[in-house]
Amino acid sequence: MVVATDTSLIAHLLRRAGFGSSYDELQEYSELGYEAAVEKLLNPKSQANFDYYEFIRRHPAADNPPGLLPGQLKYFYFLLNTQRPLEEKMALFWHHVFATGYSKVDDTHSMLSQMDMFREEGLGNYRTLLVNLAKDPAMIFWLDNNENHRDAPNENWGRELLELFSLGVGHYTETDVFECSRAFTGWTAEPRMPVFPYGRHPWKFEFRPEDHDYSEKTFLGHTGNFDGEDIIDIILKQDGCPRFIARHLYSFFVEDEAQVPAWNIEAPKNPEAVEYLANLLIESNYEMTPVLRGLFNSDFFKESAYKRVRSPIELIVGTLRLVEDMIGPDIRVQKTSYQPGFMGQELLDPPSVEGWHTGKEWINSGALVKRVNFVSDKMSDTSLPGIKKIISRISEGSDSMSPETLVSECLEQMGPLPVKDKTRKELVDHATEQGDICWDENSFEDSVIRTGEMLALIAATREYQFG
Amino acid sequence: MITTTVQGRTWNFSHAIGHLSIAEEGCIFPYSIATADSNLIYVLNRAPDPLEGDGNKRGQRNFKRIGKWKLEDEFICDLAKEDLLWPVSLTVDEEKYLYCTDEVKHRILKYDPEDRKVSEWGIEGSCEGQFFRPAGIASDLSGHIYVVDAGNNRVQKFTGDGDFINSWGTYGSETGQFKDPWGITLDSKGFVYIADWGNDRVQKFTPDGEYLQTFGYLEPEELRLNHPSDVAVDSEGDVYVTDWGNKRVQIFDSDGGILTSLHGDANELSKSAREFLEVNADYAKAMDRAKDKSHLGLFDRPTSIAVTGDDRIIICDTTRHRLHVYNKERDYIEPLYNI
Repeated sequence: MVVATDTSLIAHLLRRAGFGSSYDELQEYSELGYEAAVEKLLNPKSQANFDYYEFIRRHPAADNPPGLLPGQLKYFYFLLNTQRPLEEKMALFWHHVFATGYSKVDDTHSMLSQMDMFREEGLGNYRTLLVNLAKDPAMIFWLDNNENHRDAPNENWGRELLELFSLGVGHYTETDVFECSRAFTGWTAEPRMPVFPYGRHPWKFEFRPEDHDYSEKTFLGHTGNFDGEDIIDIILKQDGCPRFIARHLYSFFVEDEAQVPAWNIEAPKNPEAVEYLANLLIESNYEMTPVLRGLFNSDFFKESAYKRVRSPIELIVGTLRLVEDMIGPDIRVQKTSYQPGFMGQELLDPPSVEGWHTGKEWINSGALVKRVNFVSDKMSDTSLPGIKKIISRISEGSDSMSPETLVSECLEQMGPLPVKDKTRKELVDHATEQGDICWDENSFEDSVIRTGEMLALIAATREYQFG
Repeated sequence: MITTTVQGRTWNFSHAIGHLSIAEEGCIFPYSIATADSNLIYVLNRAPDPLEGDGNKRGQRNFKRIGKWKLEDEFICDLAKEDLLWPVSLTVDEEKYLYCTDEVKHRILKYDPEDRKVSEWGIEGSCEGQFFRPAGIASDLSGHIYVVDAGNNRVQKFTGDGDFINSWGTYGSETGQFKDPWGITLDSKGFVYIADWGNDRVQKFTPDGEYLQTFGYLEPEELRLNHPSDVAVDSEGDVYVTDWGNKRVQIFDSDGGILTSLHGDANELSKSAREFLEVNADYAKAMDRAKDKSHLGLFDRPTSIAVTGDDRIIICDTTRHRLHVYNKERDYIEPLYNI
């Protein structure tokens, strides 16, 4: 499906390269034009972010969360309030690819530090990310590299580095896993302070030379006294590496792909696009910004609107940004930060090192009810600033409108959201039950309620689940 | 004993109070303190927000509460457990009534010395007597209550029963203006000090709101206050500011000259922390194993500060879930040299 207007194209860009937008944000980016909007997104550091001090003043538990729940609040607040959408979206991308889970790490401080690293380096160089990741205490503990000793190698980190973080199944042997793991012996995290009695303290990487295997290794056809960084350099030279990351990018930003474990048996949906992105990775020496520039300016991206099932985070945050609810400190943020988990995307705690299963796997009977209830509840709340603005734009300059026009206007304001003829007919049939909608003084309040109901009804459609 | 000595003044670190605990005998994100007498303090525990009525497995309860403690690290009781949403600040008046602001309720809650809630006042708004996110609160010797009305960038003065008297302040960075102010205190002469959080300064006023003085340097950068959250004044007029963004306490003389900074000296565990570790061996072992303990004694987020009548300085270290107590030594003479 090709999205037609500049505004609808930029709305698509902001849904994918960010988490959707308020109407005002959409106008701001639209005024720039598409390519300039992409550049603005690609340069997050040029934009002031939200006021972090204001956030932790009102949410002091997020300043140094002792447990998962306030940690999720902190992450959710970043998602909801970021003024640097692509920085936050890339942090989520790497959180998904390099999936690390609180359920084992049991340390919110280090989980959030990892997210900070993804924000800082997420648009930077993939090699830097891999090196930082190998030294990240949360990842070290998550994949047992603290148990990877010179005389007793543990292969967990080495295996996942190859299988899920860089190459994918089929591009290495069991011997490579072992040799890779040996190169990371002695890369550990120093013993940390416990959460009691005084809360979380920083957890630091530690290299223990006495526990590092300095002897010769043979890895992916190369032989030498490799350490971890040498291993990463060899990985980056493999043909499989840029294609693996390119497919992740395609799946995350463009179109739902098969789940990662199936990638060695199921071809990409768009092999040319993946190859294009892989070549950009090679040409840029794994700098992510040029790759994303190529991705967002490509035809395959521009033609991909509504081809992906929105993840719970995208659905919830996109809706809240659209209706302008809970922006800034708010006592309801903690409770709302659990909603992605209720829909299958637990913040800071993906189900396994594979990350979340995406696409249609986001949808099951329980999650769908949660998704529909959440968005319908928000879209029908005509007291919210974003909904007021939507209604104002719909009613502006009009004394009355037909049910067909009401439906079209609401769909326009919610995306613009294309719907199937059958869906449109059902929406129009519903609106027709009460006749034309009037915006004169006597009918205004009723019309506001009717419009809110229509917005909620649209939010409950199959189409709104896509983004 | 860790001492800080400067210009004939000495502060001795005395002890820490509390440890991370969701219930009694500890603190959870302590956010404000108020002194009732030289050995009785109230500690406001802000705690993470609750998740009530969701019916989900994560039914996080509301642990916001006010703890009553002896200053020598002896827990007495909790109060106000059911009353608080986003409590911000405490004060105790001359008759030992306790007041608490709540920035979600936009209200002031009042408790008698037996810990019973006796009244509350305030609604959301910007008219006289209304609040938008009330923050710091203080009382004078006549029983007047001063409330920092943070969201309205003003200070409001009330009777102890909540009758409006007057107010001052608008949004801005000129003298007498505020940006999201927070803490407040009164000195022995009744002058009012406001932690002007968003303007990185403390302002001093007469009891009627006439501007007198500013505390906080613009230059050099290392002395500049960064979002000061609270202020207190000792019997000699020295002014203590929780330099919240810089994780330190700055001490000024009454003329605004900088004396020194405290960064936290709680290397010894509090009594309740020691007791916790005695019965939780896994945590005790983990503490022993931990390699880097360099941050253990430092302030992590000093938020609130109070001074008792006998010049004991109490600092609320929110994200370390404890209080730091310093004693200001009187009649101390700095030695010129050691023999």
